[in-house]
Amino acid sequence: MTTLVLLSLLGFLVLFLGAFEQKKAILPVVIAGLSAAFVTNALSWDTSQTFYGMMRYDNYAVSFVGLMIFSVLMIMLLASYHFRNEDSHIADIYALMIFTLVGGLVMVSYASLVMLFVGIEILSIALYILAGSRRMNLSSNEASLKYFLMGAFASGFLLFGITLMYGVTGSFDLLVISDYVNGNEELPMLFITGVLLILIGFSFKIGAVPFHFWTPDVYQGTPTLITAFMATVVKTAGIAAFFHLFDICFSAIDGVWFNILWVIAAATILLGNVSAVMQNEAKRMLAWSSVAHAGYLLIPVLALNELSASAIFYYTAAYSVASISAFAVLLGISQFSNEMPVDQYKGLAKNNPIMTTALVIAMFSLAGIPPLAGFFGKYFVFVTAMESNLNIAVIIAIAGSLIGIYYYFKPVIFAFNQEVPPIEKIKGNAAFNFVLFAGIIISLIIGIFPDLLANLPGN
Amino acid sequence: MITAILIAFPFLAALLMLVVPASKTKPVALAATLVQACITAWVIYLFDIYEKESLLANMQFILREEWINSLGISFFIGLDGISLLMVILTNFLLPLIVLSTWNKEIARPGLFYFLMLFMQSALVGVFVSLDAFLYYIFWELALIPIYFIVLLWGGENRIKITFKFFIYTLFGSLLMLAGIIWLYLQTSDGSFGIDSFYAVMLDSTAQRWIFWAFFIAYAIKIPLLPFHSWQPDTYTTAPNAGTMLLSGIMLKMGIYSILRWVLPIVPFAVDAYTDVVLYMAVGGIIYASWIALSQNDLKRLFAWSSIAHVGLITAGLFTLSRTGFQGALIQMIAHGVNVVGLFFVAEVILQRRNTSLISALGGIRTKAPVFASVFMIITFASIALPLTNGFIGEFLLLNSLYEYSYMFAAFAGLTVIFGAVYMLRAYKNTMLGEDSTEGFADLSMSEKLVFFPIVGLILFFGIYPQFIFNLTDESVKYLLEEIANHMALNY
Amino acid sequence: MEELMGSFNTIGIQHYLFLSAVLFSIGVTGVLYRRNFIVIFMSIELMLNAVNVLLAAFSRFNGDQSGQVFVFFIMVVAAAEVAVGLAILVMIFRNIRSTDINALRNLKW
Repeated sequence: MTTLVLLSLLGFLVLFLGAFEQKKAILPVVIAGLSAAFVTNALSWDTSQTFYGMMRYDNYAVSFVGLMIFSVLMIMLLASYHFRNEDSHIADIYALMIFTLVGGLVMVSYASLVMLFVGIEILSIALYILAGSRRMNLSSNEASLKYFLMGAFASGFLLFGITLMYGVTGSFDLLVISDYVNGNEELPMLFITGVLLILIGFSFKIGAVPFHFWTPDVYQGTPTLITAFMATVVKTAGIAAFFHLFDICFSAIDGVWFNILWVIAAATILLGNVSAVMQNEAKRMLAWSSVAHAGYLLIPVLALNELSASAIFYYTAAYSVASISAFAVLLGISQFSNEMPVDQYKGLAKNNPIMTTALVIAMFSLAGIPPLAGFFGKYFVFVTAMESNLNIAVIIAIAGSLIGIYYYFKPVIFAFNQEVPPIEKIKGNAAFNFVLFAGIIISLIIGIFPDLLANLPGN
Repeated sequence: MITAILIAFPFLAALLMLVVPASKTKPVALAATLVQACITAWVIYLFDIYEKESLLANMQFILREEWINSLGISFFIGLDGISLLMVILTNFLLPLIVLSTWNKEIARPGLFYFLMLFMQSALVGVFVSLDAFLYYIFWELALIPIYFIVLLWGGENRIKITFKFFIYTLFGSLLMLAGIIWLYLQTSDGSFGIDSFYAVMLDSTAQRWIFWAFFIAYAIKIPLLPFHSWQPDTYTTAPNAGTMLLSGIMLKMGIYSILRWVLPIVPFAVDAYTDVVLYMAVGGIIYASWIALSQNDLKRLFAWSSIAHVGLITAGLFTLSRTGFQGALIQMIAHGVNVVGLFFVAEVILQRRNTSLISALGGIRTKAPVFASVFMIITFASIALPLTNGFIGEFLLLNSLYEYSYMFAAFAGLTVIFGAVYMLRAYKNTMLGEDSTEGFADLSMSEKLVFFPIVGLILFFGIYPQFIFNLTDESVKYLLEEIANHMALNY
Repeated sequence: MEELMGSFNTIGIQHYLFLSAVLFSIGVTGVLYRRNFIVIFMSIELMLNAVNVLLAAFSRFNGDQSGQVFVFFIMVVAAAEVAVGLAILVMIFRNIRSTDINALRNLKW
């Protein structure tokens, strides 16, 4: 709870700093504030408090919030590099990112469907603005609008589902709903419809097939920095919330949703990977790759056993670290342009060894090559799935990973291309280099010693 | 502990390569591989060939540390005779491979030798891992350096070819990974240790699935017939050192893995599919030999001949007999040594004439007698003449096949005849015949330093194969016992 | 007056459910088929309000206040959403001088 209050205050503080033209102070304040939030969050470990039946801050929440704060911190550092020449609205962007984080926090710690809805909306509304933060850029406008429309549309489904659930059980409390599900053999049609509507709403939010179609457009149009944010923090919050609900409430009625979710997961993996192969735009490719990763992340939800939470947490952590590196490199190469063809990676290797290493590690981690974190994430997902006998799903995931190699290796191969004139040395500031280094080292360390993270969310 | 040093030393040396100035990388890399060879020699000295009781008790220099507790993964390594033999092969060939690049201008040498030494570390890791997960990690790690070696220093069309190579091998690996996870879930104590894996009792259907999940990975790596199409292109396009690594050592990973991870775990399925595998292997022998007959490019010729040789080795393994196993082990060493020699021959010719097309060559012997003699010895070894290292292995393999079935032995025997035809013809057309007008300098000092040890090894193992028998006999015996026990329990 | 209340009570929960489902479907259809931003916004509002109707009805039906409280949450959130949505719309209108969604073809839809 302290973390929640701290983060909200931090958001306002940053807004005020912006309003009073204290530009220099913003970044240090943000970093200090986020670090403090990280610490208070860590201090809540093993306390597992419940607040008025609305929020439950257990280890599951603590671990996901820790991960999200970390990702936001990295993205803030990137932001300080990206906005080095600009001085309007930085405070707004920082503040909105922090508010998004607050939304994410609520989404992973809700104990009542009301808070789930509130969390999603806090996160989404801030994000609609962030997506359109390049006001004069038409793609950014368009991305913002599409994101808004799809987000609001999905919220409508989610809400309708929540309402039906409330109608049947008479409560928004997850535990009451869970008791209801466990206590009744036959569930009314309304309840089942509610489950399915919620499933649709979540599928929209995390970009799962067939509700994924907004993802590539929005990712491409949104300013690169915000895309990194969407791909990491938002996806983490979305899948964590998704799993939280299904784990607590609907595990007893997997007959209702299992087949549908199975098809969604399989289609998401396959379509995400296949479409990513066909992209020539780096951000669009990463967008499709994030769709594919949403598919892998759905597998532990399907399996729903004692390993699932750990698998999801580890996977999102590995994926976030690698994605932030990948976006950092993209940001470094594309600089202030909002879009970047994949060809532009060509000739990177010669003058930019650190960026190339970061790129290789990030892409290999996303592709799932050992001993990097991404590999262990996939591995963990496979173990979880096979523990619940989801062998076919594993085969599909394997096929997806194979297709994935193709597009993850493309930037790497391009980077080592010697036929074009090499890219000049790209000068990054200390924060930028720090993010690159952190990406390389963390991908390696948590890949080699996955035990560091694997047990965090617990049960 | 010393096993861990065998893995760690090349890795540390590899990291050193990244900081050494470019002009010094070759000597430093060579020194590192030589030190590694010395460590290996020390291990051979320490290795007790008579310690025994069972397959696992036969493992020596064991190190078992907890690693990822939550999933039953440990850092578990150790050596038995078979592993040691593979480690010897790796660590003694590596100095020769490094030396073979001595005269060559290499762009970004630091990265190149980093990748080579990194690969050495991974290869040793594959051969000494006794934990399935660890083994898988090393298996994949060995793939990455070779991918970059071919991608960055390869010849024409390298992007497409490396990609095909990578996809092929990764496909196999992922299937194997699924198999490993499945087996892990069946173990009674939830561990990836080889002892737990050997203790798993599967019904015959499960064994069949697991067999294919593992075997396809190995069939791609070796390569066996329907999975071979990546190999000739990759061998041809790879820089020579890469080809040597691939053909000399890396494909042995597949054969070794069948011995270590397939035969004792799913013996029933092995028994059921022996004929299928033999058809694949023997079919591959005939097909590859046939293609080799019509090759005009030396590197391609050697690549195809390599497919024929490894087909025979695999066939020998699946006879599940002591002769077959011993023959396979001896032949693995022989093939490793010979194929490195052959590809270096191609490299020497390529450097001097800028072509490796047989039709464009001829009469080299008169210009370079030492080179021609060396090539002759390697050719003889490759076609398995007595007193060379190729003979005893091939003899044992054919013998084991003969005991299994006349027909397979007869067809596999064709490899000897075909091999003699295409190898001798290649020799005749390049070395003898019309005197080409261009000059051809004889071997330089560094080239001699590669060839003479190879010739030495060919003759040493040809005359004294007992060395390999001594090293591996106990391990092979217990491996066969383990398989027999498993079979008995299953029925 | 008594009679009027009595007739309200005879309207069962199914009627509310039906009404709200119809409203919701109209909203969904509007989002999917209309090409004007503002109409799409209105359709989304319609979806949210369909939910509000249903929540209020369920709240009464279950004899539980939390549903009605949730309606206020939804209203607040919807207001915030509309504020942001209209801001985005204005921003776009400044750039392209149109409220037709087909005018946005910069990204592949």
